[in-house]
Amino acid sequence: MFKIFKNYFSKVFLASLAFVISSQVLALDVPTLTGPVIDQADLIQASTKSNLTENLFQFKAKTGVQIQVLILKTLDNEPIENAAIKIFDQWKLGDQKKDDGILFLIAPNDRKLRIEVGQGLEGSVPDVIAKRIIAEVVTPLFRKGQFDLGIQSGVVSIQNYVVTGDAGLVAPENKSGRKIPAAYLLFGFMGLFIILFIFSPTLAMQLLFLVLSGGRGSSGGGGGGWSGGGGSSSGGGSSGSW
Amino acid sequence: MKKAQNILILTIVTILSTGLTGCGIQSIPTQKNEVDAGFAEVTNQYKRRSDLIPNLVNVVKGYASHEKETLTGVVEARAKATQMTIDPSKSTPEQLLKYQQAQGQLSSALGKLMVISENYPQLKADANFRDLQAQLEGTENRITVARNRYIETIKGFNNLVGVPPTSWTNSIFYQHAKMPQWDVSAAEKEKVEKTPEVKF
Repeated sequence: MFKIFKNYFSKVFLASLAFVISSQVLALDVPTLTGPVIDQADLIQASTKSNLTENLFQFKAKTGVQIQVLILKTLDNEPIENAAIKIFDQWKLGDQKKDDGILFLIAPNDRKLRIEVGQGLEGSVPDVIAKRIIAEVVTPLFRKGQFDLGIQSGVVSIQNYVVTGDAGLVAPENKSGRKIPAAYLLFGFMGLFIILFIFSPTLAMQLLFLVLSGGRGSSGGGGGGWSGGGGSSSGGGSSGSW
Repeated sequence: MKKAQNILILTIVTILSTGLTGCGIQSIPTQKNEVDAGFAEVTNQYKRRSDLIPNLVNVVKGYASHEKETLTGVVEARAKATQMTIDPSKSTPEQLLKYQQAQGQLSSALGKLMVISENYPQLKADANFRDLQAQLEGTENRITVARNRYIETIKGFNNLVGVPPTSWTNSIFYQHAKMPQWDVSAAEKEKVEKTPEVKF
């Protein structure tokens, strides 16, 4: 009886191992998300990279929109559209609810590029605009070999459209809708906390601790982290070549 | 005494909840909903494509009015494809196949239209046409993405329904049949069979 099981499990194990190996061979290598600008092909200068990195961090802090620049060494014979969606799916750029991520993918060795737009930004950066940015801003510079400038101007054009194209993205601060005053909120929470404290003091203290430590953690990590927020793309955007 | 009882209840609840989530009683209907949503997204993107076509046909007409055959081909294929509405939760495999074929025919008609547009430099330079072309490209890409995701959700559903232990739950509680997989080849066959002729 035991032997049968052992046999079965080893088969399953081998099969899954084979599957893992085969799927790794076939798949394009999605790099780990280390920062807003990833340059595998050493295409742009270090100063450009650091400028862009800072710019993209600030842009995300200001508007919430996560723009990612990725320069891939090779596409592994995959169409750039497939590569872009695969990378987007894995990195989950943008906020989970707003889907406000953009991937600016450049494959210099295949002479191809793509702007992949997250679902929430399809209104402000529609396919036509993405195409125009590629055809009229980026590729003319790429053809002259000005990759640093091309990528920078591409990013700036995207940012312009993101800011001006959709008023809803920048407006939330100005919107003076009916807000609940902070004092009421505080009183509300305090009231809830006291009720909880009466019923279960230990749980209340644990909750308090959790809230306090959570607050500290997030304020500490605000500056350095760059990771996807669960956003997705449905394949919007445009591609081009030079 | 009471404390021991509480612990016992807690353990039973934990075991039950983990057991129930693992056996498919939740995941099968959830995945069914995913499949329906996936199909809705596919039809949504097809709709987006057919909405683009009238404008595209008009722009092409302006420059290449004598390509009547191709243009009417697109218009007819679009009419046929939009006639087919489909309810994803109640669709039969035959309906699905018909739907795919109609959309596949539209794809090939559109492909032909894009091929002939290559012959008209003025058309290609038209800003309107370029914008429409960009939109069409984007929509075709969205269709591909939506189809891929739909295929993945069907795979997940069929795994739940067909692979133990969740298949046991299915046969006891739900009795869902396996979903037919989206067969791209059936839709795309049309395209392959009618490759443009090369004339010298």
